[in-house]
Amino acid sequence: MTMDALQVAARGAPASWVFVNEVQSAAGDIDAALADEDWATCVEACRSTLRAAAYTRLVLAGYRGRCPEGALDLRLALAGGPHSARQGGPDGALEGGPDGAPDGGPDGAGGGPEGRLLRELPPSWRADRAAAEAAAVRVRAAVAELERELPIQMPVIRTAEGFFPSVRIGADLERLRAQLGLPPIDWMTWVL
Amino acid sequence: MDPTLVGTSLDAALARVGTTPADLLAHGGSVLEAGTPYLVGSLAQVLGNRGSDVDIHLFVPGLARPTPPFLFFIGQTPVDVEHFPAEEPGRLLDGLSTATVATALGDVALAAPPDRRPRTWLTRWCTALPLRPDTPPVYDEAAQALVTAHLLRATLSRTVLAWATAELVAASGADPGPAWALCTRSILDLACVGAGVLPAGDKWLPARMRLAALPENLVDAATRARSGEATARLLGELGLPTLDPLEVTRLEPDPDATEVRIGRRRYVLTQFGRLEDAPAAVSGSCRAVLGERGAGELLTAVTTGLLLLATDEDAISERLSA
Repeated sequence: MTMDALQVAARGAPASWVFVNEVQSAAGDIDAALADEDWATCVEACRSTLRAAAYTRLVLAGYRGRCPEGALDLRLALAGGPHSARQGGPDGALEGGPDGAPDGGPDGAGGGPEGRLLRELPPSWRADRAAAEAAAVRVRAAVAELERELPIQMPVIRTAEGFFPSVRIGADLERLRAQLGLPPIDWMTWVL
Repeated sequence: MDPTLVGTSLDAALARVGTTPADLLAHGGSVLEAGTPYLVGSLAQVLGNRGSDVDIHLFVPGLARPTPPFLFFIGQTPVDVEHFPAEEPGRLLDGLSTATVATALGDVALAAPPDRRPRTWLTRWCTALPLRPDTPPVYDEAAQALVTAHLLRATLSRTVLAWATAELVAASGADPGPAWALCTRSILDLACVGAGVLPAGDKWLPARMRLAALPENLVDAATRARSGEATARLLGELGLPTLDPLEVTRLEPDPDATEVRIGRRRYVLTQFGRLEDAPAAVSGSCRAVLGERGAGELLTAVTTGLLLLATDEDAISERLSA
């Protein structure tokens, strides 16, 4: 297996941090809400997970900073709609709707499944067990798909077993970044 | 505050993650002894479930600045501890404008909302539960009322932004359904804050709606709202003055996008990591800019990081105090 070192260090490393800090924790909330039989919060956790996954995709595609809340929500709101005929094309490019309306932007969020899945979620406060469980299945699959696209897979960080192994991988990535002349990761940057 | 009530609330909050105040203090050891510890966040706000983190804030005399979070585990439950200078709650409070306007929903601040991070702290300190008996609340009732006025303002600003976004999407000809759904969330959030149930993580919205006991007809109307007229009607029913969302929001060049020259070509380096052709200058209220450009073109510029869609806080304050 060979990987593009600069791609891994410059984009894969921060994307992995967003994945462990934001996607993993939101996905954990899905299971906690299901265990609590709190269907509304489960659907909300699905929504949070999809937003975090979309931000991870943005970072993997080269986004350089803290989550752009407004632009991210707009990309997601425009993605997966009836006009996005070319969604999922080779570079995730999306075709505009009437009046040149964008459908998610040229790359990253909007090119993945998150916009479509968000559109399919019911209003959480109206969700029942069936709706919550169905959403959980679809969102878990989307998370697994995203994780496969990341160059580095990390243990679940916010667990007693996974914390130190994840931190060790982070330290290895920092060394790789230094070797390639990249600055250290600013932890406060890569957050939702 | 009745110490029995504090004890009961704290016990109940920590019981949700299967622990107790004594257990927490024992596991935290010296980390929880450096200052005055409070439980904050979702558990302290009567939210949370078995998977919730325990968030602790300590106020430490002599500390120069807030510390990064310290993490430990009780079984599988993560406990995040942050240390703050003892003066920090007072310092943040002193930075809040006391100018407010009374509405049926409650007092609303007439100033731009604090940034997200200090706003989260202010919220958490309004609802903090002391870990040790005989500890006063972080903020007294008057301070909590002022913070709530600023949180109402922040939620109103977010609602206005979501409303303007939905109007722009509708004007572009794209399906505005998801954008209106985001606007609905903001309106319900606003109703919760008005009922005294302060903001928490996004996922707690339905739980907060239950705590706030929002009327079913309001929830129904908000869930169905998919137009500017319906949104204006809902905000009117909540007791807020009429606003034109496109007049109180602006489109400006994204301040994080910078010009780059390569030879004779000029580009804009966006936060999305792309070099885009430098666009013609756009700056003004959404209403004004929409008169010059197509909504689709403007939305593309926002989604690619060339333009920033933001609230005009001065214009909102002006409208609120009119």
